[in-house]
Amino acid sequence: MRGKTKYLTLFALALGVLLIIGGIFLGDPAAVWEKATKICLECMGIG
Amino acid sequence: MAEKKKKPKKLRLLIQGGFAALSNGYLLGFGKGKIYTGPLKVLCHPGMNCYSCPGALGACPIGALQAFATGREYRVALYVFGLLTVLGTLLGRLICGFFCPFGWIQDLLHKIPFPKKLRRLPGEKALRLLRYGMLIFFVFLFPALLHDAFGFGDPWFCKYLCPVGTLEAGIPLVLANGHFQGAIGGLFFWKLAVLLVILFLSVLLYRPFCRYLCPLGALYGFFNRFAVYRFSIDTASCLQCGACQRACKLDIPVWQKPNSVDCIRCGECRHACPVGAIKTTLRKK
Repeated sequence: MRGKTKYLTLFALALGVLLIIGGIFLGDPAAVWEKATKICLECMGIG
Repeated sequence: MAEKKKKPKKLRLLIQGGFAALSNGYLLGFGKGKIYTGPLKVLCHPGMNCYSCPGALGACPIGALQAFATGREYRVALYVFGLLTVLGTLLGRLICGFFCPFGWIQDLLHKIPFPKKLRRLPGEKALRLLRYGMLIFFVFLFPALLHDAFGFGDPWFCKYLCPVGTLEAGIPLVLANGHFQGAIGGLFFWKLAVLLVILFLSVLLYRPFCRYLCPLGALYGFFNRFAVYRFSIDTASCLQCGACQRACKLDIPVWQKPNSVDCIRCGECRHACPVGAIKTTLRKK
């Protein structure tokens, strides 16, 4: 069981890193930045 | 022996407060009623922290997930999912216990004395499932599927429910920036009411938002069982006395479910255990 958990942990970490790299290639960080640097009226409750 | 560890509670509050201050360190924003627009906003905050908070230095992960879903062409936010997967795999819901500013606020409110504190609400089990509904419907499906005539969706969770946005962005920006005061309407008062109910409930009940509504907690909870930081029970020494469950403000039977999806890793069970049977992957003693 402990061995299984270890592999699952490693798999999830590797998957997370791959997703980050894939997202960077698709320009996700820029999209996140663009959204985060504008005041979100919906979040405030007036949008 | 039971007296040996009393400091960690205070240490956790200090870490929570310090991290909340650090991640909302753009103090100029509070005075000017504007938000930070520097390069750090490319990173997501690990906890619930609205990116329209005047002090916020990072992006809100739940807001970012919805931003991708509301566009004309739906695209999965790989980068945000990747960040959350790495954070969740390393720490699980320890993030909720130590690095979430809204969790810290609820913790502080729960310290206010009240004649009768509650351990749970009626229908607790079903209520705890609500947060999965928030994640599936309000964060993913509604923003992605319910679009207006121009092809854009709404960030349903942020717009209709998120109390963090009201507290950290709505109230300070409306107070500091006159332009927003004229735009207040029914939606603002609805969100204000949601916030007030959650803040009041936080005095009576430990972390009601995290228990029932938080979509980020729902996501991180999934990682608790195999995160790098997790708990285990030394079955040879466990007395099955239930002291851990009595100490747990979220009412988790830790001796049976040390890696429950509800556990925020506050560590109070470990300090309550008379024989030290609850181990962590970092500290076996």
